[in-house]
Amino acid sequence: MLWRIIKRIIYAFFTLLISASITFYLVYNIPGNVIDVMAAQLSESMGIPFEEAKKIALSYYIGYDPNKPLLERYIDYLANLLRGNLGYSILLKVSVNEVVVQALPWTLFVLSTSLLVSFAIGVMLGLIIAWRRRTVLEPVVTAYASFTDAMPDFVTAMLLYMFLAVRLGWFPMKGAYDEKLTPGLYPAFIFSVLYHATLPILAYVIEHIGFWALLMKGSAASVLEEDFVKAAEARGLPERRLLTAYVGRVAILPVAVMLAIQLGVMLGGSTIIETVFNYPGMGYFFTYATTNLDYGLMQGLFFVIIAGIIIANLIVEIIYPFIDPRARREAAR
Amino acid sequence: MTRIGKRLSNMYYSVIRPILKNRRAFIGFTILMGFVIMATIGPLVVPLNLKTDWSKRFKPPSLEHPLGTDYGGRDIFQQIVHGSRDVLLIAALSALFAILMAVTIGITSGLLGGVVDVILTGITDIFLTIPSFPVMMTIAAVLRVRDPFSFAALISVWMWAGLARSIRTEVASLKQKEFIEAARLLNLGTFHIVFRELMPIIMPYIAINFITMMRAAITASVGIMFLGVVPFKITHWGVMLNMAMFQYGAVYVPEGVHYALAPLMCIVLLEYGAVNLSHGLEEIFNPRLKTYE
Amino acid sequence: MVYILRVRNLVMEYAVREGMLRAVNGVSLDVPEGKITALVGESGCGKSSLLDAILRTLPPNGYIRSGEVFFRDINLLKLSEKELRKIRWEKIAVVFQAAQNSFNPVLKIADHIVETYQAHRNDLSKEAIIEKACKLLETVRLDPNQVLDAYPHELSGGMKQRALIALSLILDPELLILDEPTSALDTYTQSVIIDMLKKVHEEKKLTMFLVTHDLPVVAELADYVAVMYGGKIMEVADVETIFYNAKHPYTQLLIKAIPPLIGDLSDRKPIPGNPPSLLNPPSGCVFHPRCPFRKPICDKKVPPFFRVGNNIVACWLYGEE
Repeated sequence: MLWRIIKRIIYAFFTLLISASITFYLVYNIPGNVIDVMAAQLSESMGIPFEEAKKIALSYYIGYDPNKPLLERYIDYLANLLRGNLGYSILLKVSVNEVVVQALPWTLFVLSTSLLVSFAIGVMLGLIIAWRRRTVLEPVVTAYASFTDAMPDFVTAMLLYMFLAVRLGWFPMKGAYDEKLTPGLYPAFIFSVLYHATLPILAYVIEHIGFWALLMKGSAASVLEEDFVKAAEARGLPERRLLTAYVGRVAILPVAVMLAIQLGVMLGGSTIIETVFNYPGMGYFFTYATTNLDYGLMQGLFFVIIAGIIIANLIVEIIYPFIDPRARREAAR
Repeated sequence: MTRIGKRLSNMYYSVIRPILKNRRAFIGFTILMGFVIMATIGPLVVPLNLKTDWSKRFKPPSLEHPLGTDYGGRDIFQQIVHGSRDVLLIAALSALFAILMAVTIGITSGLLGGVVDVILTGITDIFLTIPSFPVMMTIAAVLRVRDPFSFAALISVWMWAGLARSIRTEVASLKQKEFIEAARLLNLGTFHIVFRELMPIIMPYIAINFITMMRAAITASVGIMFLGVVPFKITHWGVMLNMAMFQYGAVYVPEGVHYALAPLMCIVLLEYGAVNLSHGLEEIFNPRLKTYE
Repeated sequence: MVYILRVRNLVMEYAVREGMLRAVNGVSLDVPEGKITALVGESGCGKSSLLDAILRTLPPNGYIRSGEVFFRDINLLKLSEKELRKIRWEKIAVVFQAAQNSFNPVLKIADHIVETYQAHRNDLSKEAIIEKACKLLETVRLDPNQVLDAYPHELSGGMKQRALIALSLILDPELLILDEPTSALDTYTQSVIIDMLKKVHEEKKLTMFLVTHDLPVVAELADYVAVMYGGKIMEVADVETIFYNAKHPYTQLLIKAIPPLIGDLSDRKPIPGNPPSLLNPPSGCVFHPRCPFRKPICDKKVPPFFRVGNNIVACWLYGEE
């Protein structure tokens, strides 16, 4: 049992390493003149000689020193990562760690809320339409799900933005909260946060409810055919018990596994949605970094995003056997 | 002559007829065909006039300009038609490369087993875990991807993993089945086994996945261009959206709405067609999925 | 004789792609109280569907078309869901075929028992329920300590079957219905279950209705036997009469087809022909295409039940219209 967990952790670590290597390789391609440009800027703004400025610039960009051999640069880079140093943003002139500290909470807030809301609603819908086959609800939900499944994220986001934010002015067009307010735990601020997060969350939820509903419907439909549900019905158990403890609990397992995977997908989609709504989360800054070729920021944020997804997957893989007794047997090997 | 005739009629009855009969497949097929025609013949028939005429900015749809004009007074319909070619080309190429890779790796891994299998599966898993969109964005930006082929290659690299894994599982289980044993005993050779025995079974699955991958490729390519990571031709729908949203204020100006809506609607329509076709094909090849009362 | 369960002209169909499949085609049957009655027939003759119809545990594409099912004086088919739940398990309990899948994989055996009891009565505390369960488990020769805290996948097939029987007795039902209790089990476990059923029947004077295709089990357990074919009842008699003096041609062929443990297989004959299509049943008597004693009337009219000595037979050999 423990061995299985260790195996998984090793594997995740390995994947992380490869991802870090990819980012390193990408940044390895930075044309040398970027450093020169930065050095020139530094030298001008701080009034120091160019050579010294260049040294300072190099110290920010660990591993990018074109004078050092490749292997040394690679090891430098990894060593710094382990120390928690994610690099430096040329354009924003702050360390990437600072950007992450500011942006990550917003992204996590929006993503987890969206995930939970769409999961809860979707799963309930899926269960209901699987249970009561012959209602009006089924074709409606199925059609809705197929449709939104097909639509890419940016379509929903753009439409929401164009009509609800710009035209009707019902929702703000940028920011995570009203700039005039100072952050703190008081109602006006909390309300402002929720108000600004509504559209991004709405965009995610509209997109993804269908996914969960269809998934749950399929799972519940196959559970319903199982003998133990019929046996439970014959035992005179009330409908509510059947839905929750029998159909629901068993059907939700394969669906819940997808939570982590969906988080990964949503994290990828955050680049688009946050950019459309001008919401200052990880995705927004990542897009900023990529379109403006801020290598330092790009590589640092990329690593954080990937690490997050890999860890999320890892957690699900480890936890699953504890939730589903059937999988425990497999895991015990 | 009759052999070809037989082959064709076989194809008709097993492939074309079911598509015509199945409602969803038919709708999807028609829509997609419409776009394919637009992409292939369209640019030959419809001219592309990119001269800016500022007096004609953001004009609403009219007989002269069926979809209206953009921020520079240029006809939107023309741009859509010309852009469709690149959109579909990139999507099709990506799907094609991805399928080639997936099939090769999947079959090799499944058939050979052993060490080869373990290594290939490990590689597949790594590509599966790394989230595709951020990686594509980064690589596209840093390596300055500009032409359709490299773009398609980039997208396909992050798309093949899922299909490869399914193919591998399928092949690994088929390997145990009797008819493969029989073929082996008859010394029919690996080539025969792969192409004559295995392929026909996984073909329908591959066909469905081709469409799904095209969909994913469209989403990915348009998404990347939408964010402005890759400056491409302005007729590409993704670039049109990028300009509408971030650059020329089309989104913020009431009259500019059709500049944003036109590519959006085309994308939605295209995806809708693809989804229907793939669901329809699924139903055809796996009749159990049909919902009947 | 008091009949605890009476079925009258029950018709039940499944909606399938090819049309309507009539699994139960006008079945009438009386189950006497205090005895063990067996319903015998080949696979696919409609036995399991009959049970589903009686208890109304139909799949979404199953429909009861006509007929009545009386449990004592209550017509089960006319009850509301709520009233039906009161009958289920408290009065009539069922042990379904393939007990392996009758348990919820995420619940322990004890949970199953407790929740079943609590769904019907609230007069016992949880501990009291477990106590009762322990006694029942011991009756079916299972060790409560091992079984109660186990998940279904931790038990073997035979253990699950016995646990299921214990579960079925938790509310002291008046009628126990068992669908193929011994198939999918090895012969040793089979004999254990048979002995156990006999014991339970003797101790509690429990009426049992046993559905099976396994004739030797019928010989050991049953008091009365009903023979089913093609969705209809062919013959009903006490067990001795069925085995030694069957009157219906189908029953006779069925008995003759049983291979003996010792002796010669050469005069064993399978029944010629194929089971009838339930989509398009034959006209008249459903067995007539395979019957060696076929008369002209057999493919025109459905035979009613005729009483001949100890047997009740649906066959034109024993009467006229």
